[in-house]
Amino acid sequence: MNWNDASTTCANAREAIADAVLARGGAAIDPAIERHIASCAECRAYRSDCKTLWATLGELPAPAPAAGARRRFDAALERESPSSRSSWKRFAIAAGLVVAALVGYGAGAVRGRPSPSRAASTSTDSTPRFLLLLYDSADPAKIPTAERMPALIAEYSAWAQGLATQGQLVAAEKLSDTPPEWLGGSVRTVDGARVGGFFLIRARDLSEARQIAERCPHLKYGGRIELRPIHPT
Amino acid sequence: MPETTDEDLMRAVREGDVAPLGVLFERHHARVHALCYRLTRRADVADDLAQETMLRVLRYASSYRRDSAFTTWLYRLAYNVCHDHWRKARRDELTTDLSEVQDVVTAESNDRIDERHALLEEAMQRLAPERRAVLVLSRYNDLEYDDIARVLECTPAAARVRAHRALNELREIYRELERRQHNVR
Repeated sequence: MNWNDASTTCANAREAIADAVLARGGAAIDPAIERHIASCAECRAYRSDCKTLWATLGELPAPAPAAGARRRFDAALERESPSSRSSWKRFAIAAGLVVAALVGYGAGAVRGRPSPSRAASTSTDSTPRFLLLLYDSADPAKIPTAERMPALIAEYSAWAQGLATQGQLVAAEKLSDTPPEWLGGSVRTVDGARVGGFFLIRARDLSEARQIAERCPHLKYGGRIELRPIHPT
Repeated sequence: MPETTDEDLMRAVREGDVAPLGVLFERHHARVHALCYRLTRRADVADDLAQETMLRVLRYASSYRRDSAFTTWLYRLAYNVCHDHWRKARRDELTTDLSEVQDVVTAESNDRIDERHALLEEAMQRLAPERRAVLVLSRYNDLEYDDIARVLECTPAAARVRAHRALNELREIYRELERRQHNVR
């Protein structure tokens, strides 16, 4: 074996050693190269050094992020993009819907004890039901400011409380903000608006249901409502 | 119920929804911070670079493609953020020489910090940033050559060559630091 052959063999061996060290789970080394390594002190030392370095690298610690990283990120995000303020709107509507949902439970509790004030539209199990699907606005210009949030929540709550008092609120839920799981293909609105929550109500007929929906604060803040009668059973 | 995937969250971000960024932050910020620290070796700098990386998820959302894992794309953002940092700090890095390294290592040894760790930390610091990156991505982020290539925006073959050279150079620098350390005693 001349010098060039030995040099080439060592170079090949070191490439194989590096691949084996760097590969996840370790890569197998060709038997011929293994025989060379076994007979070459320098390549043996190279493999030993690389393995030691690689193992020691794994022991080096990394410090944890500074406290308050998430808070700083949220603040930066708020400055970064005006459209990020849509999260305020979502929060406001979420809070309103959560309050409305809680009121809905209260309505369920009093359903068996109708009050005189409900005489005009007393609801029974045979009263038609309607579904109000609330779509969030995709228009950043209609996003309320953070300062407006408490008033917004109060409006939603008052509207839902009114329905509950009248025995017209059957259920209300806010949907999670996580992306929907589509089965059998996706359905999207033209402008990207998404359903943020729903109300299930009782009303004498479609006309009364429409009047109820028209009073929902959602419309004031750029949201849209899809009104659907529940098919009678 | 299965957890929403990073890829689905990114789809929502691309459609203009910023709420999923909070979920992505909680899932990946610590790992991004560790990557930035290992690339720069400075915790305070890593705090800023990790935040910048997470903000770039929003800024560069339109460039995200589902043809590779979200984390690979995220690591590329982090690498580019660190690269921008290196360009600004290059002059400072180049002024460090081995005599300063000796002092640092000696001081740390006197503080009973594990000598091997201190030497290896220093050897990593002495590597060119691009070479350090390939070792960090392989060792700590478990990336194979294909994904390292995506992060560094080169071919897998180039990533492999860069990794081999980085490992060789790390070994040489470590041995040199070790020899100097023994001479000091």
